[in-house]
Amino acid sequence: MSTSRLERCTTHIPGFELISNGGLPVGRTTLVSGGPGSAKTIFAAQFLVEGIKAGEPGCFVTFEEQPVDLRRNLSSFGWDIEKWESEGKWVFVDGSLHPKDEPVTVGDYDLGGLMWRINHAVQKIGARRVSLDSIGAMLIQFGRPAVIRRELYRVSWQLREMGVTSIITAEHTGQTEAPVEEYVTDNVIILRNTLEEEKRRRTLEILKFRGASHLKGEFPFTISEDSGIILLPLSSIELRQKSSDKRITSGITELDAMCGGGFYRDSVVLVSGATGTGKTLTATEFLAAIGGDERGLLFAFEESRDQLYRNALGWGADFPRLEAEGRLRIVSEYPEVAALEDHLLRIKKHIEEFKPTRVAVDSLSALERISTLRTFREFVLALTSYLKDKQIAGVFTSTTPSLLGGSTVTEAHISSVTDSIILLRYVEVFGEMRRGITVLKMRGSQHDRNIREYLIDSQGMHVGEPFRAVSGILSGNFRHSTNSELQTLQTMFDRADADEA
Amino acid sequence: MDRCPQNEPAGEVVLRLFVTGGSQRSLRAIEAVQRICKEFLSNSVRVEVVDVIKEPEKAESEKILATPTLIRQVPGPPRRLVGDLGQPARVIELLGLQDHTRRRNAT
Repeated sequence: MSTSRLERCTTHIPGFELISNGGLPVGRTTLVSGGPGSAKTIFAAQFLVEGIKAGEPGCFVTFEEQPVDLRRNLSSFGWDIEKWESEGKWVFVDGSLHPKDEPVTVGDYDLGGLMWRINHAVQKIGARRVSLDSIGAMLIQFGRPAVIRRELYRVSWQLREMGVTSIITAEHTGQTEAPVEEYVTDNVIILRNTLEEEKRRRTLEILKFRGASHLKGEFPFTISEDSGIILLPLSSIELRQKSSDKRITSGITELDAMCGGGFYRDSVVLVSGATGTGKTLTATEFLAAIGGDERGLLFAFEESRDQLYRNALGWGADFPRLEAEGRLRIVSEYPEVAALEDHLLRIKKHIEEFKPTRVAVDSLSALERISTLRTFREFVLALTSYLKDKQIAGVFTSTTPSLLGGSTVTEAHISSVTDSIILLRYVEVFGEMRRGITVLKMRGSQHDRNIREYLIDSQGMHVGEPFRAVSGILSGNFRHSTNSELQTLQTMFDRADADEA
Repeated sequence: MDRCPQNEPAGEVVLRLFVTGGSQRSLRAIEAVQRICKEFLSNSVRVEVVDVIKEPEKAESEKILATPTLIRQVPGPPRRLVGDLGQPARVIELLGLQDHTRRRNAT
């Protein structure tokens, strides 16, 4: 049993294999510990469900809820336990306490009855997975932690002898672990459901896998209505990105030139600007530029479909036609309809259904409103990684809070995640408001470092000449240079440049 | 089984003892029950010993977790005792079988 490399049991819980480096240690017992409402029972049940789907029967030992309640409650995930029971794929061992049968203790005992019932159930259906839910309910029934500890150790030892991979859930209250837990198993997973800045946040952390590697830290997860727990492993996907050197058009010819020949096909571009600078326009142009076999997908969190149609038509982009042809899909939702984790799932679902080559999110700032900073950053990371993994080009827009200059918290947290950043800024030129665009960052490519003026008309965006006589645009503290100053500057650095001017 | 009215003192009593094979605790419990029957209880008490290793289905239908478990099956409603049953007087009291002791029958 003490081989150097532990075999893994592929759980098939979405995302779990990534953070656990391949699944649960085979033949071992893993403790899943969490506070009330942390989805322990769902995890325990889903472990069996995914096993059944992969052809491995499972045994559910319940000490808390009765099988009849579990069948009903878990059916909301589309899990037809009754059917699996009749097919010999799922078996319950009911250890729940019936108030009428409450036993009185006279002398010493063990949990041999339980052990042999589990043994029998496992052998009857050839179970490969066992879930026990939960230690806390057992303690309430028997009230002797020392006995429970000893017996759980025996149960997990026996399961190991049978080569069965198992999960035991336990209540986790406060900071320290209950004394029972430590002795039972070499593997510990902690589920958390915390309130952060008035928002619910669910995470899973692998505390230890004895003798086996895993990723460290908390990983957010969400509970989907139709498939249960879905983990959102962020950093792990990031590492597997391949990158493409194929370029696609941004939809704006001059912007392509500024970027050194267009966006990379699998890159994510952040477009930042104050309200009214043309962020939605940039996203619109990007989507309207889809070529023959391309498809565009727009997630709009600020404007309704009708508004978007009208805007696009005003800039010469025929969204209704593109959508009717099946080359464009617009998903318009209020950010508040769901938690950020669920938005991510919805976005992924749309992408999987529609298989777009271009995706725009307008705007990230609207999503930032509904989450904590940490969750938001994880969301952007996860979405970016996902798009890159699928080789999809993305444009995210972000609204700066001040009209002039400045950056947002959003940008501070996600600028390192995106490949390119395009800034749209208001520029005051002698009492007149104009607009300037610049490519701040373009990963892996040369790009134009000028701040250029652009105009918006019924054909969309037109980028023109660089602002020569204004400085301080990005900070919003404009300073106008006189002609003589300009000449001095130009002659100071590059004679050729000066000659051109 | 429900033909035995609960309040009839001399009625039939059925006890079921669930044990696991030949474990120390099980052997002690079997011994304790045999001793209680022989020394304290009248002949109207019947004891059935169930080894959950050999008959797991019975343990399943009675939802036995701990062993040894002694169940007073008749008269109903059932009563459950868990442990190796080392204190005869307490066992008799908890099972509500005071009416079935030899001493009482003798007097």
